[in-house]
Amino acid sequence: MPRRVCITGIGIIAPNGETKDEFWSNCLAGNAGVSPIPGQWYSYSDFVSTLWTRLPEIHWEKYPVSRIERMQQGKATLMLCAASHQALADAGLQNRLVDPRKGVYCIDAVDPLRTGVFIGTGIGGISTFIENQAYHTFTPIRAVLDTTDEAAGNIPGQSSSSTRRESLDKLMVMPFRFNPFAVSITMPNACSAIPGIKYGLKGPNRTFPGACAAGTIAIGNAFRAIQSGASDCALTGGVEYLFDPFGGLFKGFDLAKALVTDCSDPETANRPFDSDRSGFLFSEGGAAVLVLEEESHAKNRGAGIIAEITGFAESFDAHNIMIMEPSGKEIERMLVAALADAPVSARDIDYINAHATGTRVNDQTEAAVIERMFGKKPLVNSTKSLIGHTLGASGAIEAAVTALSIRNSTTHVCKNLENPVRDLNFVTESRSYDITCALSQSFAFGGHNAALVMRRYGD
Amino acid sequence: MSASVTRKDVIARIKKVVVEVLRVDENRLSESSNFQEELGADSLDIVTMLMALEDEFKRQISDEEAKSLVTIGATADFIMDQLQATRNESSK
Repeated sequence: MPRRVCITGIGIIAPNGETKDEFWSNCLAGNAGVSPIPGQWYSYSDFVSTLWTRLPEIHWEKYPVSRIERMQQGKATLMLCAASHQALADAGLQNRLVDPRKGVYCIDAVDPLRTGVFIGTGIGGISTFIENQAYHTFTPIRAVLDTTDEAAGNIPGQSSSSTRRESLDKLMVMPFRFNPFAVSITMPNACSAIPGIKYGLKGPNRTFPGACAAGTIAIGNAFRAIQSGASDCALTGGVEYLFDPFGGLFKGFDLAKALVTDCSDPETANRPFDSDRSGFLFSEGGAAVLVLEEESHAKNRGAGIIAEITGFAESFDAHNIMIMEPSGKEIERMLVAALADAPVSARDIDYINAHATGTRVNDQTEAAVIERMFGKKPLVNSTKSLIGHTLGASGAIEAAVTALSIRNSTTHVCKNLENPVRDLNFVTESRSYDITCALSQSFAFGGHNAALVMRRYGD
Repeated sequence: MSASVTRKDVIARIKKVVVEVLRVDENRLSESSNFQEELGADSLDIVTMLMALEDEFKRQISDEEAKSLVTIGATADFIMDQLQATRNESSK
């Protein structure tokens, strides 16, 4: 009999909520957070897509990250620390500061040698790299311009006679310094290393750079580590932070024609599974962390169990680096494997948290696969219809939504769905539903597919 | 930064940074406190402290300048020199 794996805590930072509870209540209320992209980005380029979802203000004083740590880290790992703090509190896992100088905590109720950290991310701390590169590039350019100004008799950097210089200065946005922690902030594995250091966890520590499926893959690997007996407990989830001062990250997706193109009405532009969808809504980012525990580990300490993870599977399209294989046969193969792993049959699935980005090919393929595999019975929704696409965080946020939907016997609507691409049981109303067994699936650039199966604990 | 900043003010602000970065008791600190030998700062602590000092005094500290900043007193001397240089520059 394989060891059972339980979700006992959830922490979330998302565009529609700084905490799990705020996020969940906004999801159930159908609240999104769409806004225009930053005006400063237009100084560098025009864009086809003009909307995104912004992260909320994060009140760092609530979390175990000091001002000094905020200087040493990027936003991605800081958000992970905040989401981990939320998740541990939600799980009732008390932690205490053991090294004030390093800001290191100890979780008394877990064996640090048997507790792992498994985090997914698309691009880690690249935002900080871009800012440091700007400093690196613009500093000598400014110096040359200052020399030129001096030769012309102007005050360096303040040449009121030169509007061209003023324009250049406005374009050369850069931080005060080149951050000496640039390497450790940028490297993707910081995403699992930082929470591991923060809480002194010495079990398996892995970062999964699986693009839009990264969070799902990370949670699946944490599930496997506990199920196999390699670990008893894990912090697992995903993170992404996609702001840069120049809009370069946004531009890459915009040029790839992945983003929502019809931005005439910000409230309805983002419409996964709708016939009139025009691409995905870019998000500034987010983070979700789940506490997973082996069943007896959770029960022995009297933990509340939110839901149980019972199955996981992955597949790979081997088709195209940016386009999903349109028949969906590799997704189907993955789903067959995930159901067998659980083990449940397709008709046991009550709810599917779909990948559902809002792009033409993806939604068409995913909806067809759902209908072939599950028919019209299971509820289907798209968390991205509310918060946009948080890339490497999305799978973890959606796994959290899936667990909360099971726990609370309700889920959120598939927002802006007026003309469904297929006749599936899309969630059009947030009300009470009987959700015992559910599935969350993610598909990524590269061709990576991953799915988690969960069920109500005790059923 | 005000032109009337005193050395005593500068010392107090450096101590505040040292306490925040190294988490040491402020009562332990004196002008002769050596960051690495006495307060146990490692190389990353030093880098972090330089960042915090740059933020505190709103000026950049080059790698060359940083080499001499081994005690609170030496750091105060450097900051006072910088402030004086700024005053001289602005009075030209």
